[in-house]
Amino acid sequence: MAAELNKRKTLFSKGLDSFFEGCAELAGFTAQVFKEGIKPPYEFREILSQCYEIGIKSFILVGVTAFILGLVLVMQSRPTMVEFGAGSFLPAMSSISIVREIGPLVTALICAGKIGSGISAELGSMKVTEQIDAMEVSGTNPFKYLVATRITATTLMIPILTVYADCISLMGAFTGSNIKDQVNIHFFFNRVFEALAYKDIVPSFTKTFFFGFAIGLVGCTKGYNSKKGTEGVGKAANASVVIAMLSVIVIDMVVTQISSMLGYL
Amino acid sequence: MDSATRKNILLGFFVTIGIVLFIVGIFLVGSKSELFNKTFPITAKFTNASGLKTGSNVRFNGVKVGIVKAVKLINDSVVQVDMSIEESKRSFITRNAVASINSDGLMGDKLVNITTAKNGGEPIQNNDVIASTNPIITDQEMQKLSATNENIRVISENLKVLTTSLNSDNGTIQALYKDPEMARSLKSSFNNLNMVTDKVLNVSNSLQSITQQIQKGNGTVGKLLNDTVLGANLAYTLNKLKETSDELNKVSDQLSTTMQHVNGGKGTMNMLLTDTAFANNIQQSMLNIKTASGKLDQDLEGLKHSFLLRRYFRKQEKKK
Repeated sequence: MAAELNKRKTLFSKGLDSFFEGCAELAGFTAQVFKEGIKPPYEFREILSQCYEIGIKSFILVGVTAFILGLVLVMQSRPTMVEFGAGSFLPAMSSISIVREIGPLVTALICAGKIGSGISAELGSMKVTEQIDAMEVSGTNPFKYLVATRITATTLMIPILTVYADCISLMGAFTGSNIKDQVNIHFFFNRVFEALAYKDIVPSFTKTFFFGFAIGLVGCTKGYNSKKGTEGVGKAANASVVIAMLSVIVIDMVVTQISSMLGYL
Repeated sequence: MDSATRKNILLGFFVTIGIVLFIVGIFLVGSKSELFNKTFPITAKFTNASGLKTGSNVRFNGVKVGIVKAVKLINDSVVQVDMSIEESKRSFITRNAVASINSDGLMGDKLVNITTAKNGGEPIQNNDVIASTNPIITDQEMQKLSATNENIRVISENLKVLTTSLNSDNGTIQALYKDPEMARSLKSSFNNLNMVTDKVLNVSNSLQSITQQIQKGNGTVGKLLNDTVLGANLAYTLNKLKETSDELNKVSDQLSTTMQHVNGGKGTMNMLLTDTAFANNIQQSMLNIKTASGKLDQDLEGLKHSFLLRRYFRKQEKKK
């Protein structure tokens, strides 16, 4: 039986085998991240450095995107809402949309593209140029230094970027409201915070930690395990972006369902 | 300043601002949910909470004063709504205030509206249960509207049948608005009616004038109704008339008795009235008396011319 299996080129199909192999790789990598990340000593300096790279260097991109999305959301929704005589509900509608979904999701997707690919490419390059092997030889734990720090940084920075994104997006929504109407800023933000409740903030803020963890984990996994030279680095970066984005969407769905079960929705 | 330090400062600033924004957001949301304000609890009971939920606004005369803390089903017909009201608004709300469930606009969320009592009252205390009015249930109103629509549909169909009938039949109504002769006749009738109305109006005016004269006490009827002396005299006269009537009644009775005696008795009167032989005798006697009287006239005339009495008669004529 074992001999027969060894003769076969694939177990299920090429795609399925690859998928399950990736899942196993990810699971093993996750276990190792927790194992190495929790155990001291901690690489604080590298964590801060990665936080700077991930947080501050993504801020402009996230901010601009969030502002435009808030503005567009209001401009697109306004005609229909005004038609129904619900123009005064625009601040409430935009605040709930932004805080619950648009802010966290847009931040995570942008970071999945920018940070996920960056981490994957960086670690992949280090892998193919055998820098990681050299670190191991020199006595430095590459997993702790390279992977745990990046995953910690993404897990911490995505929530903070999301807070910024929410605020900037609400400013965009206010700007959008003022393009066709004259809306007082005090009135707008009064209605925004009147419409919001903790049940809107808690699940959406919580899921950003999972988004950050997933983006860091996928980027590091694909980069750390990249093969076949520079070509493998490109493939790893590409796969990292795709899988990270898909992971974000799946986590979003799961968290929404759990929030609903817990009575947050 | 080296690059690493600069990066760390920037990162610290970035993270601090992010956390501050998050905390401010949490605080603002919390303040709207009355988490950081001093509040006191009150309760109202409804038969139908009608879409009210925890966190819904509570307004006092249209101004937000608190939020709904809990909506509890007490039994099959009572829903208890616990509210948290800002302490600063306590002095405005009295114990006899009334809570009702309304909507924030046509499509808005449900909210509790507390209205002030007309006669004032004591300030509300913690855990007081205030009176409530039941909300308008949209489904019930829609059912009523549906019934009204059905009625309108039936009326519309009846009107359609009626108008079709009016257009197709040759009845009176169609003649009324199509036949010119009918129109002329109707016009004439209305003119006559108008004249009659004028006359009736004149009569009415005359009657009114008469009534006014009577009320003033003018004329016989006026005096009769208004003059107290005349009234007393009339009463006296009527009394006298009554007495006379009584007397006449007695006389009538007596006459009746007499007539009975005349009819039933055997006296002269009865014989005069009923006995024909007696009547004939009387008639014969009267003829005899007449004959005797004629003869007596002749005798007396003879006496006048007799020499014995001639002188006496001449003296009687000379005296005349």
